Amino acid sequence: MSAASSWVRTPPEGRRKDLYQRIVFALTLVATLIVLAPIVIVSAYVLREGASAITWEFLTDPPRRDGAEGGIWPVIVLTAYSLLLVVLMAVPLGVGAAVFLSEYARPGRLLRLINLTIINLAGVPSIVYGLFGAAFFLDILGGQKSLWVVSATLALQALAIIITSARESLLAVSRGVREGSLALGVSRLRTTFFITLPQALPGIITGVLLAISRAAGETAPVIVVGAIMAKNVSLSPAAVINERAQVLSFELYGRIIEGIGYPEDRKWGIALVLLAVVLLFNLSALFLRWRISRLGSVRRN
Amino acid sequence: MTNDIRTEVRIDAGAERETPVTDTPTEEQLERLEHRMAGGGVDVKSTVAAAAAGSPRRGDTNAIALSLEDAGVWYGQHQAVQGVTFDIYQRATTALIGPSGCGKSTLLRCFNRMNDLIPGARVTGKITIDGVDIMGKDVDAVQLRRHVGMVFQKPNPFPMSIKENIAFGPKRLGLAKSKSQMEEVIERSLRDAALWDEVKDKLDEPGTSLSGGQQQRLCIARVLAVKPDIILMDEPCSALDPIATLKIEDLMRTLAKDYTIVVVTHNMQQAARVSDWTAFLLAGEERTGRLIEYSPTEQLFTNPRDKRTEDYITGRFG
Repeated sequence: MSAASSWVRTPPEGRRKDLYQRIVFALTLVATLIVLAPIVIVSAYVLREGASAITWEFLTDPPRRDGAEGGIWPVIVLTAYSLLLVVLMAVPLGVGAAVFLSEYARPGRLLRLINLTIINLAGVPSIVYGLFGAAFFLDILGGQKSLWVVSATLALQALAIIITSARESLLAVSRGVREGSLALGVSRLRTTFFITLPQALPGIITGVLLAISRAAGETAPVIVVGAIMAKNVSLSPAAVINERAQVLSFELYGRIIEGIGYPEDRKWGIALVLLAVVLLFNLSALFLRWRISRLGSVRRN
Repeated sequence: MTNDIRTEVRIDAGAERETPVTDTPTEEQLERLEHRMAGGGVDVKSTVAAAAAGSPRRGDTNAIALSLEDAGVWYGQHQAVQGVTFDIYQRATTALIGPSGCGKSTLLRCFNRMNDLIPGARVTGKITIDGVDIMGKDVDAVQLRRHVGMVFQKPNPFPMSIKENIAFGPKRLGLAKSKSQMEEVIERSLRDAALWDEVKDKLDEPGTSLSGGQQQRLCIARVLAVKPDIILMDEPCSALDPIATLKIEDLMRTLAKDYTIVVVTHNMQQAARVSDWTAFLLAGEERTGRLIEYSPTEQLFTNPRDKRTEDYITGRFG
């Protein structure tokens, strides 16, 4: 073997490779920055333009003079109701379906077809969901234009994302721990509940988050199933059935196409509140995720 | 399953990251290990002789734990195992050896019906425990698995604390009535798996924080906690270093006093060291495994009846 001094040093062509590496890594850094920039700029812009509109009155008062004055309190509350309702409807259904598809369904052509269909459902334009929601909930079921119909329509759309991501996270749970549990004489159902689902939960929560954040921003389908602009109504939970939907996304959309006459900063204010609501949902889910992963490694009873 | 590869990779990465400690051998184990490393166990015949001198071979041919009659396994159109007939004796260790792909793991997974979980797998023939055909329609595979425990190739502790790993089985199966009973089960299982002294002060730490060898003993303790009669081990040391392997082998010798153990191993030295009986399986061109020879371990390694066994144990193939 030749002396180390002759081969430990990088040869000239190696130095060139080193340079290539640096360039490629630099490019990936640039890509990351390009992706990050709009997020930061948009948030900062919304914050700058909308901050002046955010007053205690704006947040907690009912609207006056068709929303030109007063606050957007009913819209905030009903948006929260509607998103909670989407979670309540879409999560049990979606996770249930994902458990069936990944844990119990027999693999085969039919299952592949079903999975493919669900993935494609996630790509169906939201306006189509709106149209379906109107036809199904209003015409066929004979429902009134109300908050629950909007939530049910948004839940249908959220299902596709929730099922797909939950199924992926369930499948990613190692076969080893499943078999370990089954080999102890623990049934498949209990193994699913006590081993597989807890391990897949962080991934499932991420999927739910994505779906709910998307639902919060939807405008087209909620118009089709009858959302209205800010209006002073009773905000008891019965509003879910009795009242028509008021949601931040549509409120913002409505104010924008209203054109002149509506104070510019109030539009930005609504956008800011919408961002904050989505952020709040995300943070609470992240908190939940963190709690679960902590429990998972130390204590769970 | 399409995600297998990805999952495996993730486990590997995790195992590497989470195993900072190694098992610490005793003086006596170290000596044996050095002897082994120095070439003391290279020759299977001397290994089997030394093991026989250390502890007498067991296996009362009157007490049958598990009996196979013309057992075979099909995966769809492919026959993986064919026509296997032999008896496994109580309170003894039986090793299944043979080259890769000879169907030894497949056969092992018949004994607790883990093959049920593989779509398209079908077991033929008769496998009986206490005279009951375990493939019978009236046999509940879940109940069967409680009595026929299994330890896997890769340590697979649950993502919970050490304590909960042990408690999981008894809790889900309703075996421990009270909290104090559970504590008892946990301590007994860990002691029986020769792990108690190493973990008694950190029972609340995650099972995955242990070294590979400790994880495997945790998995053995987990099996012991549900009080099985038979313990199946599918290449339990293939992912472990020599020191951890030695500890598991010692544990297997101890457990064989109270349990029936069936171990699959590709390591002939290991079979020679730990088993009382050895079954040699071999697959031909068509990849269908058949039983070639089943004898007391000492006889199989020193005086094989079949030419193919002789060829395999002398390293002529496999």
